Amino acid sequence: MSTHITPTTCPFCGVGCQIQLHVENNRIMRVTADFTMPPNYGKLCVKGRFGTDFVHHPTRLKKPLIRKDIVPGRPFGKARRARSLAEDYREASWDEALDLVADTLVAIYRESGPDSLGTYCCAKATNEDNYIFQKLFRTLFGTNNIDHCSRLCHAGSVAGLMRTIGSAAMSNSIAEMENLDTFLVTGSNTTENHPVIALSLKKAVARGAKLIVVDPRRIELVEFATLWLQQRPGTDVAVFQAMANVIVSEGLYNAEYIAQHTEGFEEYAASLAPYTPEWAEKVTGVPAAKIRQAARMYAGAKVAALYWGMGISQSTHGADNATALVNLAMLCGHIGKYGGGLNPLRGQNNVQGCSDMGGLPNVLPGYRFVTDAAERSRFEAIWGVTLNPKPGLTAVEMVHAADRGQIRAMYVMGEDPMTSEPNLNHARHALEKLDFLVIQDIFANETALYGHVILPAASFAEKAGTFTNTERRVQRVRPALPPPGEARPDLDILLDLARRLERRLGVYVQPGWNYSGPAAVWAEVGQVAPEFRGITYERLEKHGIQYPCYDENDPGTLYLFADGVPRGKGKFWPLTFQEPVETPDAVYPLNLSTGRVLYHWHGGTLTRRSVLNDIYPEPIVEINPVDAAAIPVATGDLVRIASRRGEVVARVEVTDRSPIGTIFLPFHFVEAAANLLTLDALDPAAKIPDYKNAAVAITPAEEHGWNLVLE
Amino acid sequence: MTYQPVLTARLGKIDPASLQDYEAAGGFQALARAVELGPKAIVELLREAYLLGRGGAAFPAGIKWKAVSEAPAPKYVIANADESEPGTFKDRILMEGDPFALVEAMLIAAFAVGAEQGYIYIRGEYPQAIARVQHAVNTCYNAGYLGRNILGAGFHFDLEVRKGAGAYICGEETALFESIEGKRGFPRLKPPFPTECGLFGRPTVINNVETLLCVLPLVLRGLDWFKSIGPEKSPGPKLYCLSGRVHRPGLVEAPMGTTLRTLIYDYGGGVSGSGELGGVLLGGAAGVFVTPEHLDVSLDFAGLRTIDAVLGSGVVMVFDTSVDMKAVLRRIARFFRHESCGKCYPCQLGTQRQHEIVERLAAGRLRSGDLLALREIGQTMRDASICGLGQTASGAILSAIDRFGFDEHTGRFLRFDSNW
Amino acid sequence: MASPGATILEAARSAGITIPTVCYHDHLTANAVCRICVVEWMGSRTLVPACVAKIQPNARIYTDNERVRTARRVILEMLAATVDLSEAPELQTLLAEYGADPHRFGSDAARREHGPVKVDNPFYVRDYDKCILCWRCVQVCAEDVQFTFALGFNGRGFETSIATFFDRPMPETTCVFCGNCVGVCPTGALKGKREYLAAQGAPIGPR
Ligand SMILES: Cc1cc2nc3c(=O)[nH]c(=O)nc-3n(C[C@H](O)[C@H](O)[C@H](O)COP(=O)(O)O)c2cc1C
Ligand code: SF4
Ligand code: SF4
Ligand code: SF4
Ligand code: FES
Repeated sequence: MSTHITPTTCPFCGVGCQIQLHVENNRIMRVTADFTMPPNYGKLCVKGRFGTDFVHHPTRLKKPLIRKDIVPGRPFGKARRARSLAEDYREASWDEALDLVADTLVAIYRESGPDSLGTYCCAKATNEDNYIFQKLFRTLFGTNNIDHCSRLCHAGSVAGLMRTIGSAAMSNSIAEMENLDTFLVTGSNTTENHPVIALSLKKAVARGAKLIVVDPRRIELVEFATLWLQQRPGTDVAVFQAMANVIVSEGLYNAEYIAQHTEGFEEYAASLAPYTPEWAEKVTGVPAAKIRQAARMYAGAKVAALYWGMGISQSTHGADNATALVNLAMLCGHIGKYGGGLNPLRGQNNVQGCSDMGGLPNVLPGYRFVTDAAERSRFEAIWGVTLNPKPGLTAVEMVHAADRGQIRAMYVMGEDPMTSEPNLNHARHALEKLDFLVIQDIFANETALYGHVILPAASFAEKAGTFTNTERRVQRVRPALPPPGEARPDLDILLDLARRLERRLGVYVQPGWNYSGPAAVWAEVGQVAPEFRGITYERLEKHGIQYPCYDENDPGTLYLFADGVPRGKGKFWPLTFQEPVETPDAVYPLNLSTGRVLYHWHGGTLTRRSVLNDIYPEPIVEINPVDAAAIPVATGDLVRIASRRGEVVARVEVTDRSPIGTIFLPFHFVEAAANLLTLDALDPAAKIPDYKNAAVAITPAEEHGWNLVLE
Repeated sequence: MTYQPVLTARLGKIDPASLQDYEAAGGFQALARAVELGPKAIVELLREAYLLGRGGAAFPAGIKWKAVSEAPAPKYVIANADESEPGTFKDRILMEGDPFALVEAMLIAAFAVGAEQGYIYIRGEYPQAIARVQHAVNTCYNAGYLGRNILGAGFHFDLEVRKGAGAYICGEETALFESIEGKRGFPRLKPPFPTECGLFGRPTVINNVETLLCVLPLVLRGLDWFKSIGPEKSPGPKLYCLSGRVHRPGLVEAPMGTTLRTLIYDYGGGVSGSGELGGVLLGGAAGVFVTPEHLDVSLDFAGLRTIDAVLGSGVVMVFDTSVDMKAVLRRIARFFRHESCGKCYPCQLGTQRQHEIVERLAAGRLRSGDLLALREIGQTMRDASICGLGQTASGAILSAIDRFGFDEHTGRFLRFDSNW
Repeated sequence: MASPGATILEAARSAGITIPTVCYHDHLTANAVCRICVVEWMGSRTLVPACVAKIQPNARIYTDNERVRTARRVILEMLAATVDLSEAPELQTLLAEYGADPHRFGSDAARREHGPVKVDNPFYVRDYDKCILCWRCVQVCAEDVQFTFALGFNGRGFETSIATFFDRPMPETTCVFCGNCVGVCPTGALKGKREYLAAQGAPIGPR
């Protein structure tokens, strides 16, 4: 039996590990990693090493599917949840399916205009897929209603970083992590969510680095921490403001950096006066002395890095949380240096790239604002069409717009809003108002079951392209297998659809929709966004390259802002502390935090269909021993968790990882979808919902009533 | 026999639990003298005395002390009292009979090298020694000999007694560190050596109990006295663990370099059993056999090297001609097979293969090629093992085969088998 | 010329001289347990392991003389007489190269046998009959990579084995199934469950 080894990029988290797929008889038999290859240098986590078997799952979509009640030429009903694929769908040819999609989208567009379309591009798909996706909808339909799940994870960070320094990417690199001097990790359970990055962080500690963890949960990194600040959930801003207060009042700030690279310091410094550590102790529960210690440790270091994750971003104060962190870094001048910086850890394999490619309602590829006339006309010149100058709707806003009947058709590529959106009951009502829903995916996830048309796509192992990892490293994705049945790579599907739309709409876009392959698409990306120009497929053959990279001799960029921040001068933002929107009360006495666990990923679409599910097969809610005793429940019991919006049943694990008063529920499980419980209140600046704070009540449950059917 | 014992002088004469007794018998005078001399002078004294380690490896103690005294704090001193070498019992007798002396010696070591923390690592099978030394340590804390600002001399020293993990390998100094650190007792790679990177990765002096106790008379009586005992290249008093077929086995304190003949016939009262000397195992299981031709060799580290033998920890195990030498070898082979820590391949695998072959030898079922294999395994263990255990695991067996006239065809030791 | 601080192995490699290694892995801490890489350093009582010993100016080192070759051959012979090396092609090659005869110890020579293959988790199996105790898996599970410390040692001497605390099944340990141990195991003692099942002839469904 011959084994064929294909080097490619892990399809799960944003670390972007380089993996080698060993394929025998069209089956992935083994996954290894090259010890000389950045960013992971031979290391993997359980998902990359063992979890790619989802590509062989029998429920892979293999043929285009059309809802049975759709008859060509006749009007059809609104989106509604199918009983099952077999009962409610019929197989169709690609021609029939794509023609139906093209005809219907065009009809709705002609009736109701560009704003009646809503689209989700995909943080799991390649850069090339996403570039073409947004180009298709922007150029052919003139809509900017383009977003993806990064809205639901990263938008808080983006808003905070954009208004302070003008760039939202992770500033520094994985390669620096083993050599850190001092670093602060907050709102990131790194060992579970970015496992291979966590290895470098642990190594840094083993080599003598000082680690400050700011987190309500006793995450594994706490064991490695020099200092652990366990703040009351939702009070992050208070901790960081108080640290800033200490740094200013003790004169620990970097006056030189502040003078040269920032503005607004005086006003900001004055605004800190009320935020003393003693005040913060009352608000956050963290002893004032520890806040002082943390401030001195961070400010006193020659260079110190900040790492954060969803705990910071996924909040109705997400933008403020991130802003508070940027303020700290600017105070101390820990920016633009090796081993320092502002490092939001990106969740999905290509969530960075999807944003880079313009998969957002307000920006074109390379973060050129749609409102920027000069940039717009540059793109118009290259693409040969007029572009819509009005920013589109964000993910949650699109759901609200669908509910209002403003959005009539949705095109969803590889995303699963029916798992990832907050307040799912509301999202379902909204989806059910759609006249047309198109799904393009490798599995029929929860959202797909509402689709009118389902288009089968190739998985990461069956297509070519590039992913961009959390440290801005563009890396190759290579096909190791043929797709199952008639499934096609996303790029193929999109280009085919574009050609059908072009004829119907009579809109002709440069250079047409006949790219020779992903390499040609990528070359165009370099043309429209010069920071990618130096990154060519030939160069990527050896290893990934970190953008910005302007020409072929440019080695890429290890860390950003060595010569200042994009905004010119970093802007200090005075902040006011606000409590979470919903806090526990007599009826809903516990705080719910949602998140991820090591063995699953995102909506669970992939990992529930892999061997990973064998080790973590059902929803588990983590409850502190004190809370468990009060209910009372024990490990292994079933409980009903209810919020004002819905309820789910999950199995209990009693653990002091969760602080008293807060429970933790992963959101990977459709049968206990955590987002039935969460709120859809949004951060005013970032439009990101709060997944970390919702008031819930817990009661023992007799039966779980789960019925997981994988379609 | 004009030699006046110093290491064993107090044994049986004082109550080992009594600090008063110890002080009345000259205890803590060496410490007082050491404090007068100061650290530098003590280290210098040790260097000039050329005191060689009595634990087995015969490394000059002065060199270790000097290196650690010049290294940055924190640093440690350790008394190696694991004493697991078969046939060795000197450290036990010293600790049981004169435990305060070990504490005093540790104090001097710590004072000389600038350590504020020390450990006495005592073999787990020595409950009596552990109890007495622990009692001595506790008493010394109460009396102000341990703790802060000792003797008002401004130095601090904390001393802890640790019970050994019950494995021969834990007497190997780096395995002993691992054991104290709470890890499995695997020897470490050297370099780095303990003086640079020892316990908890810090500079460490580790010495055998006897080595440490030699420091007391050296400090009190001075260099000239020390040098006047024994040969120039390895001076000082020595404890010999005389055992086996002699009329008066036991612990013998004599000048370094006493001959085997003096030990066996003067101290030991001659060979028992058949009355005819068959051979002597020097240095224990890790040592080598010598024959009656070697009776007049000087029992010191340098002298024994001339006859490819070692003094090791001072074991002198006497065998008369009626002994079943094959059974002795089988016990030795089994011992090493059992005690190999399993870290490095030569010893992990070699001690097993050696044992299999020696079993066949003992059962008279040697196969062709077995002896060659035994020699090659022995050479490989000696050449390639990580630590002293593997390096010495074949010495006794191969020396017996070479020196006692083993006949491959009959499978008999001419020297021993003829008599039974 | 070798860079200062280089090991003998590194120096030899840069001079184009091959020294065989077994336990050594370019990207892990060298524990120098197999001693296959030993060389003769004039003036040293014993042979020295090239994978950890640092080269010094004017050292006279023999990487392939009779003494060195004997040690390597005997170690290989003893290893092959003890462990199932059927899935360790590199070791097979070395055995041939050194003319090693593992049968010299007789057919009754004890082998290290551990009972049935341990299949106690969804991801990988442990077939310790194939384990050469190279320590790599323990090392990656500890400070070299994972800081999980799920793997350690049991027994000693010839009976040493790699084991979890109290020999618990992997899911009951701190193991996070990163499989980094599987990635460095040179002999097939650790391997993916899927591969193991396929080799057993089991139909390999995706799950
Ligand atoms: C397997 C093995 C066991 C050892 N056991 C002991 C022991 O029980 N006591 C001891 O003092 N030294 C023992 N040693 C020697 C120590 O490693 C070390 O050389 C000694 O403690 C140094 O002290 P010294 O210089 O005073 O002799 C052993 C060495 C080996 C290789
Ligand atoms: S750390 Fe992330 S990228 Fe690396 S193997 Fe795990 S899931 Fe894949
Ligand atoms: S020589 Fe023996 S005891 Fe010493 S390290 Fe090697 S296996 Fe362990
Ligand atoms: S299981 Fe594999 S990696 Fe671990 S010690 Fe054995 S042979 Fe080496
Ligand atoms: S390769 Fe050097 S000891 Fe194993």
